[in-house]
Amino acid sequence: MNSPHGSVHVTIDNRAVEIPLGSTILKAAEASGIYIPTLCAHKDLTPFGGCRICIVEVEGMRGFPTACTTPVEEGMIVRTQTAQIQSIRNEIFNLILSEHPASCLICDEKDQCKEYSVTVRKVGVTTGCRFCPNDGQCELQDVADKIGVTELNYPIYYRNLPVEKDDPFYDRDYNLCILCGRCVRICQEVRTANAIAFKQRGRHTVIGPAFKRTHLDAGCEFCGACVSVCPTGALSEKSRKWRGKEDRAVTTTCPLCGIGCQINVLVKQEEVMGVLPAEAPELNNGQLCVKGRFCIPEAVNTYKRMKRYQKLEDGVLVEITPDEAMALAAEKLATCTPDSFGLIISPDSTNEDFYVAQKFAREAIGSNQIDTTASSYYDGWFSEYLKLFSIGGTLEDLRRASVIVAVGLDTRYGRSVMGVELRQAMRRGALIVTIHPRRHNLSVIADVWLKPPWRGTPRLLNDLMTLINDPRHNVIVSDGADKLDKAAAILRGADSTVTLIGSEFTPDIDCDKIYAAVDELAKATHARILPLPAAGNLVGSIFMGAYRQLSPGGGPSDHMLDVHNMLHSTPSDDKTGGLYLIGVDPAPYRGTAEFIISQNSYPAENAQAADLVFPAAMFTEVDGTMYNQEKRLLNLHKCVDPPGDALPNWQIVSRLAARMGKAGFEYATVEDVQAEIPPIVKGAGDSLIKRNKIGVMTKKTLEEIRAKRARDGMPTFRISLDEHIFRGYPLSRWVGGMRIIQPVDTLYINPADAAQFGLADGEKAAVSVNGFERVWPVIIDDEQPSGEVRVAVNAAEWNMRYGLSITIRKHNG
Amino acid sequence: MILTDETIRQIKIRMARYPSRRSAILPALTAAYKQVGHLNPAIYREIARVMDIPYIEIAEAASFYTMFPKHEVGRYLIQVCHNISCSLRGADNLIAYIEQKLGIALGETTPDKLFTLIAVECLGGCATAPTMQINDTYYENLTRARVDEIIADLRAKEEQDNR
Amino acid sequence: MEKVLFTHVDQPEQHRIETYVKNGGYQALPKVLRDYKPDEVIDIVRKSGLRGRGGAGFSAGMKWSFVPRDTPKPKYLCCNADESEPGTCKDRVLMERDPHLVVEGIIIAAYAIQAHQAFIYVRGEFVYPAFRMEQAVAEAYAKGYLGRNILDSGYDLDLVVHTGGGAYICGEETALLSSLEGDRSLSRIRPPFPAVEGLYGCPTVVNNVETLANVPYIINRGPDWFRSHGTEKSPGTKIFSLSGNVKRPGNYEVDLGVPLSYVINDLGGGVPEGHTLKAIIPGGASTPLLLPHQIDTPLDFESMAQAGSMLGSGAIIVIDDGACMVWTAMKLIDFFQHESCGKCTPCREGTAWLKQLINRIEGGEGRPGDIDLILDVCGNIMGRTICPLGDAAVMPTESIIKLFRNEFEYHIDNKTCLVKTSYPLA
Repeated sequence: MNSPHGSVHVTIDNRAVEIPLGSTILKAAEASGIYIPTLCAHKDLTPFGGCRICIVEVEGMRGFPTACTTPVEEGMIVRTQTAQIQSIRNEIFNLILSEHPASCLICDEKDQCKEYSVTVRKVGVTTGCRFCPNDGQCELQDVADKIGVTELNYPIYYRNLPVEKDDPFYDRDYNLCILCGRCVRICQEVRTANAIAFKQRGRHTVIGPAFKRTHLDAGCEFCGACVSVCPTGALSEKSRKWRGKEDRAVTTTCPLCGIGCQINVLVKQEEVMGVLPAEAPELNNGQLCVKGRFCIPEAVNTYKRMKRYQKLEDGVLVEITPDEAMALAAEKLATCTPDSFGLIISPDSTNEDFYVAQKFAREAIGSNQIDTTASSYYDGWFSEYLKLFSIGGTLEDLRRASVIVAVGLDTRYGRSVMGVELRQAMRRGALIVTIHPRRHNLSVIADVWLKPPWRGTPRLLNDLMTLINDPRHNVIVSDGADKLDKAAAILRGADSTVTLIGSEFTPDIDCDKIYAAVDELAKATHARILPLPAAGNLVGSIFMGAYRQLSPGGGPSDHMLDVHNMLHSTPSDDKTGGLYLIGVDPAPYRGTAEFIISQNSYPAENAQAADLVFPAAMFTEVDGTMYNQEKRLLNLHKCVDPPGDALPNWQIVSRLAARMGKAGFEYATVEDVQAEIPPIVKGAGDSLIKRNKIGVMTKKTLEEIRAKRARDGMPTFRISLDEHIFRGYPLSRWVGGMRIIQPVDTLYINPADAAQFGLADGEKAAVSVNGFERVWPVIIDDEQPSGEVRVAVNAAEWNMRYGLSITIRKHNG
Repeated sequence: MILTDETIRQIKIRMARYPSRRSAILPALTAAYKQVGHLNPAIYREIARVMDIPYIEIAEAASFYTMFPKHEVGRYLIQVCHNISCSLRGADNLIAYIEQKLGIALGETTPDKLFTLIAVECLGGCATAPTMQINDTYYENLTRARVDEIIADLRAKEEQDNR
Repeated sequence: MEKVLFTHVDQPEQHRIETYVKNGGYQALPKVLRDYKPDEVIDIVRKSGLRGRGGAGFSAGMKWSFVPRDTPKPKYLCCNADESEPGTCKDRVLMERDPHLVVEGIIIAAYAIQAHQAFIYVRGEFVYPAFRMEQAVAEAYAKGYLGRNILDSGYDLDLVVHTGGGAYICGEETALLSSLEGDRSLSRIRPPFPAVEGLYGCPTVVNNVETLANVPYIINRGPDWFRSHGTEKSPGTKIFSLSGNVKRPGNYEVDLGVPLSYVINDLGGGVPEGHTLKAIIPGGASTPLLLPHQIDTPLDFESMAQAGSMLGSGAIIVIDDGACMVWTAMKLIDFFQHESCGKCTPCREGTAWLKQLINRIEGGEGRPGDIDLILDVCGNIMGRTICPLGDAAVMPTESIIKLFRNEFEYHIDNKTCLVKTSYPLA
């Protein structure tokens, strides 16, 4: 590693070390393999110097400088292990432990403790006195071992604070806290979420969210960074406390959104027990969001997981053998004509799944009717959305950008590593403009927050565009003209701009106009665009040809049939023959096909939604590849075996094809599939976009909807959707914590709108879309823009009904 | 809203004076304290909104600085220095005398919500000890007679205000 | 003895700009802006030998010279008026009664380091001094001594009066900067020193009120005049805050180097009748104690250090035979424990232990071995913290135990005081 300022030579414990100028003594020691105990220091954090355990002796320097904060100088002579240093270190450690229960560190019998510690007998046997959920994974224990502390001078002062268990995902026992401040610093310095802080001062210092608020109220993103850096058991993951150390960790890719974060899946006793971020400096850089950090074990281990093949018989699902299932499916599919077959696959599947699935449709059935649920999520604006990929930027562009425009992006729970990037960009001086209709987690870091009114976004973007070209242009805006001027000035002066696209405006009745304006804006300001799709492998689905218009490799397909339009435009008595759903909730499709095969890891809410059920493996159970939003190829690695009869999607599809007597599906391994995938057509995204026809709705149908809405009368409400969908279902269905942080089944509405419908807080509202009605309790929210309600619902379920125009009425009872 | 327009105006004036608006956190807390007489989370929230700074940063700073009471106190907050210089000139007895006179212990408020008595660290009135501060005003070279007079004056003022 | 800083403090309208000017104020500033380059100002102050009056006694001119000349970053000057160390009450007098002297000193210092923004950090309790400073600053703006193009010199300076929230640690210069940035007032690791990377990461000088108040006089009368006061290594006059058991407590300005006894006995009238002197805390609550036989020690930085204590902020606390020394130690440690910011382990945990142990002894529940445990904890804090607050807590504590160990032992053995403290309220 070459430092621009050159390097210096220092001597540590008689060992000569060459190290870049500006490094700390601690870094120099680490580089030369010399151990200096540390507690408050952490590689991702700026030096703090609070715990004082890393003190060393430096020739010619007064006192005992701390290794973590003292920069090296040429010719410096450092001693880390003199008798005096050891004794002082021991004393400082003693002071740290004077408020930390320490029986696990110094008890003579600690080694025998574990085997005797578990007992159910209510009799006087040794039960162990360990009260730390992170026993065995504690840095205090490491330091105690390394510096050889065996007795303590001070009696332990037990703070007797209640253990805090109110928030989802992790518990907090501040009796074990040593106030190293890592959690506060990572939350403030790296995540800039500022959910927790030091409170009070001196000995009364405690850590937590301000006052008695919960982490949830304090704006916590539940990214778990604080839990990861805690050196003690003060912060512990609910899902794996008391479980000790993992057997192994497997690095793989998180498919819960399009970023493609690298994760280390912790496996114990052949079960996924936890997830930690992998370093991956080019990607998530050691950070994760709540989904990746905390949701995966629950999502993949849920007891509801599909383990067996099932068929619908007299209204109930009964287990059958894989062979029976294959035979039944083959028999049914044999009756399908190319026009009466459809295959829909989840856009978070692997490349291999997409490839084999499209090949199945095209070669085994001879049908071109393949699609993903992404096209329904983005509804009629899918092609507009995909256009944005044509000038797609990379994370590298983002890291170099001097101006960042975030369109409809909130990074609190999803895409939160992008929030970290944005905050770091802000720190290095990049200017940030956000466009969002309501207060969002980036509003506090934005230099300008443009807040478009309901249906005002296209206008706002066009005004911005006008102002960029001509600052003297007089734009009439009702609110925030100065902000618009400021934003225009920022964009005009930018030398490198990156535009990030979140999902706030997806879907929106003006979606096409918004994306077109964003596209224009990007061109005018020479910006790169980085769309951040909610779906894990949207790019892969395009490259693998999982759409009727596209062939594998990204080239155009000759066929132009439209499975969704077919499903909806045909009268119900003229049903599709067979529908093969992979990772898709079958419920909304019931009644549109003669028979439905549902291949998923999760069961449908309604057992009667599918005729045949195939159990699929989870991403933690397969090898394979995905593309992230930057079109970067990422690997998935198998961490554990799938449960029961479950198999990877591509494998089930291959077996079915073989059962149908089709050749060309004899894949033994995932590599066999990969070997067959044609090379990606250069500029695949571009050719796709030029065709401009992907997606389910044409411009004509879009206009029809607008016209219909006009006929139905205003107000028309926009509904924002739960985007944390995986394999067809909201994550909150399987993960309890998600239900807490993002309450489902609650409708947020602006006070004025609520008044219009005569709705009061806590009352119920019936919301209907084309006759499909749901009832939710109402929360009146100042932050909610007028003309829009917010509720977390399953996008697929709603959009199937072109659900953008909704009506609301008070529900009694 | 707890904060008055005037307080908000004060906060905004302060914000404009510093290169970084965060620097105005303490002045904002001071302005709110002057208006309300104490600070609490609802006030932090309002300040956070006015300053467009995360709530926690306001609360975090407030919790560090002990000059602002964090719960409601009497109209007159009697803060008696109990450090060495004042103690050498009778601060302990001063506290005892006020306790006895008002019928409350340290940290308590009189039932009429007029006085709250607390002990504080050095006020910088060492050469004029013993010293106490009531709200914004320093009272120095205190004697029993002077304390009687001060309390009587404040009570009289209160009566006048109530009339 | 000639008064300098206190020449005009007793004049009723001295805080108004007209009176200040009439009495010779705002003469140094035009001179500086007209005749001197910034480096020349630094040179004059360095030649005068002015040392910081906040406690550390570092050369003011030297401190200013550390500020990089060629940086594109803005520079800041902070006047430290967070006067909070028990015994110290001198800056308050200057701010209340001669605020323009402080303002003029700030402007000259800011010019010397080429800062265009200055702050005066006044402790929050000082409502009245802060009000007087605000008033003076407003007057100075109105007369063109502050703001754009000061006195047509082309030099700009803005000065903000900032008030604190009750925290002794803010007097420590890096903690002061944290506080001024809106953070919790935690001290920062040096290096980088504030002169290079201070407020908002920019070069910053932090000077005490009294230090800056000396500057206009040094400019007007020259470094040689300044050196005619005080001693060779501690030139100038100094304001001493005399408190505790003396007949006439007060703030007295004398030449550095006069004997301690001059301030205590000649100016302060000695301990009250019927009492004898027991101990002296010579430089504020954080300094080691001196015994009666050391009363002739000269009041300058070197002599005080030689006597085993420190000149500190010049706060002389006189303790007579009416005080129990365990009680004294308790009063001192209670303060430091309350003011520890909590960042470093040794200070956070250590001061809490000291408080607990000393209070236990004072409360008659001391145990054999407690004294050694106190000394042990002291050893664990001393020199092992980021800022000097830890040391500040230890120095008087260690010193009291060293000098009056018998009182601690008596307390532990007899569960009561050797000397029953009683200072009645008059």
